[in-house]
Amino acid sequence: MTTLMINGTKYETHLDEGEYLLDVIRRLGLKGTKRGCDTTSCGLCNVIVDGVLVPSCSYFAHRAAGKEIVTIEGTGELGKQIAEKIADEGVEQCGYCSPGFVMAVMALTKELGNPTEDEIKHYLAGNMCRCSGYAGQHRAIRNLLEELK
Amino acid sequence: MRYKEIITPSSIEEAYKVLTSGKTVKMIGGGLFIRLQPSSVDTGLDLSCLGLDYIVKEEGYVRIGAMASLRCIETSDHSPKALREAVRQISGVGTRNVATIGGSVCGNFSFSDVSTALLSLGAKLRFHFAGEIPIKSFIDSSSPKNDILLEIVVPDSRFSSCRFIKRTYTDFSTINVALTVGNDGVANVAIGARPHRAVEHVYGGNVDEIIEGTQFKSDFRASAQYRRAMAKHLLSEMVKEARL
Repeated sequence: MTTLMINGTKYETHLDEGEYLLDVIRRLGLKGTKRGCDTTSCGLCNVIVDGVLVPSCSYFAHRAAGKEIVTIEGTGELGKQIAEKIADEGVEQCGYCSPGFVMAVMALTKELGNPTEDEIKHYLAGNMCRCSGYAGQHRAIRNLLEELK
Repeated sequence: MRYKEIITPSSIEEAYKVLTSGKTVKMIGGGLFIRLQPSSVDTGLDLSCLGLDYIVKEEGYVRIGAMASLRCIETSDHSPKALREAVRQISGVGTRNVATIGGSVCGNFSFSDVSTALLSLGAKLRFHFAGEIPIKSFIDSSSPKNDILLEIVVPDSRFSSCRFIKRTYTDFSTINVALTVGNDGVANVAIGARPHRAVEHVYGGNVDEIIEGTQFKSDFRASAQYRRAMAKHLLSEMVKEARL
């Protein structure tokens, strides 16, 4: 049995050899993290492990033992703020990319001080949205960063 | 990739013992490309607890541990410019937080921006058993195979840059080119994703000579003609930037 600390809660679970964190998270009932491409190309499965943004589809669950894992369910007030900003801009269509986007924006706000437009675009290059042209997400992020100042 | 077991040793000696145990063993760096392989092995050898995730500046060179993430390299002040430029458009930030430079180098992928940059930088690879070898030797032979890459040693240089053409921001490169001017004034050019693996030339003052001395081929990404034209353009830009 392995202990995983997810969103401040301890989970005791058996891990199959080579099982990936996304499979474990969803198996434990945390369905907010989505599976997209399974190749780290789309950003849908983003979680934060010890403060670092990682694609959970390809991150070994055993490597997360002893670390703090944050999923979309555990993003608290900042996660809510980001989601509201995205919704305010009318971005959401299918909504499938949103959890991964929220996680990436959370990591961005912690890592970058006062990013330029290009730095924001660069940071979010790993997040795909099948529905939009990303303009709404960028407006939402600019509004968020303004509010966080 | 499927594993009957994954072992995560805490010492290089223990890791090498597992590697040479006689079982089918796959070394796991970031584990990203390996994940995509449709095969199974007895043992996955997880290198994440060997203390190889570092970037250290020493007199005359930079030492980069094989398990240093591409994101660490992208953001470290110690990283040579060519290497920072090479890694920054490899997939997204999340992927670069997990992918390792050791995995990138040992995969020896022909499209690798990292290998092209390191080749022009004159990097050496330090293996546990085989010792230190020039990266050119590894690119050409993919050898040593049954060994553990510990670190990459990059000599200081007065200028370095890596540029590429990609169809989309995070795509594999259609063509990549790197130029390094060493502290001795020698300018080293590497051209990769030709689509074949990177080759190197010493720059003697003539861009056309380098391009004519390089073989380019066509594939689904681009024609040989396009690769040749873009390689010339990218190299000319860097030569100008380096004031050669």
